[in-house]
Amino acid sequence: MRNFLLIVIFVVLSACRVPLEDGISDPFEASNRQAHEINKSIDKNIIRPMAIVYGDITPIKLQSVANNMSMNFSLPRYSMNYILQGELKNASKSSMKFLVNSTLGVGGIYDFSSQLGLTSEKTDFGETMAKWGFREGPYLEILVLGPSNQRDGIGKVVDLVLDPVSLIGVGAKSVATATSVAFGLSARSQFRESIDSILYESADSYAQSRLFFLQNRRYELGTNKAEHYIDPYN
Amino acid sequence: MTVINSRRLFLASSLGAVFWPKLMVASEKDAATQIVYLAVHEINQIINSGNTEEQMLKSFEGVFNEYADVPTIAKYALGRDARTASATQLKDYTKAFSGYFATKYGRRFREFIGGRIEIVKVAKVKKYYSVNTIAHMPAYAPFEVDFLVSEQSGQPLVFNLIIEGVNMLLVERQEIGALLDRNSGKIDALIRELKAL
Repeated sequence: MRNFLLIVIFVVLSACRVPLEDGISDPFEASNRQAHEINKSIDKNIIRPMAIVYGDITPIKLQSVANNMSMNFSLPRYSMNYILQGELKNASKSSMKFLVNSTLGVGGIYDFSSQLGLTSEKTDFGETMAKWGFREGPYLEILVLGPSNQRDGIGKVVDLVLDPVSLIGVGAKSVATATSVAFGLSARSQFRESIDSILYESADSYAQSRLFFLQNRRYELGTNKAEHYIDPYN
Repeated sequence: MTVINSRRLFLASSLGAVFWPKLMVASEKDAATQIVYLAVHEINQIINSGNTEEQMLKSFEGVFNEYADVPTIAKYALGRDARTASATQLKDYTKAFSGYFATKYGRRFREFIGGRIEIVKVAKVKKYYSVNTIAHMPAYAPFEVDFLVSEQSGQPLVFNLIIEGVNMLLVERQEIGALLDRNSGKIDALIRELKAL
């Protein structure tokens, strides 16, 4: 059974190339816009005020420690996804980084491995599916989680459910969750004005969020079609 | 290209300007690099100056006016409506857009306080140069900012920014388009709203 699965994965991998994406597909715009309004009110009433308090009272060094720990806890997930993508070199890099930071970096408090030149690009199950040849599908704004698309929405759920950190123990998983919340608050606070500008100052915050998400995600995954050369001089 | 290399390149081209004025225009690539080098250098100074927000925004406006082709960005953002607008409307719109642009992007760059921008490499793409930089931030993973430089206006100027894949011209066309929709497609109303932002 296991061999069969491996064969399926490698056949899929060799048969597919990362699909290229172009334009905006948004057949669920009406319900997406409703979700967007709800997400905005969640941000306005809960996340943003919490982030401002967290960002203001927590010294940047301490935020950095929490952010490092959160990054460290993401590494087993990166390894798992790199294995599923057939990227064994990247998988060993992220595993090695996890080992080094968890030991010499004292449970991930210090990003010790970066000083040794050991870096790891982030990845997720959405990217794994893209490498298996799945298209991104329609744009989706998901409640609480925010802008996404069909493929990456499924990816987020898979990453949440199948996080290898859970195998280490419930304690590790809770610390991982806590530090990832801290990272989210820290980022919301640091990039407060950029995010506020999109959500609360733009003429159509839904369309701006969609544009930012789609372009940024395609850039991360390398799935944007050879960019149309925008020549504003013609 | 590292910061040191680009600094050396800048020094070399400044010396070139003194001793061999004609060498300056010999390489469009050097000119593109230099314009971004100067802009980035000034941005780095502003974000580490410890000045007030108001002072910083004023300084950023100076940087944008000197190194960016704001009228071209404004015209692109307006899209098709730029063709039907009268010369006076276009002039007023460009002026209003410049103010809006300076405040908006000044605030974006101000968030780099405590960080620095480093030039990594320069590549020619079709009719422009893409100057790839990395923004280093305390406590966050570094991210990429590409400055696109063209000489099509007659001198090397930045006409677009790509921040982690997000294309500023597309973002501004979407935003100005939405503002125009909100004002029932009336350019004069758009100009008033831009001035008020």
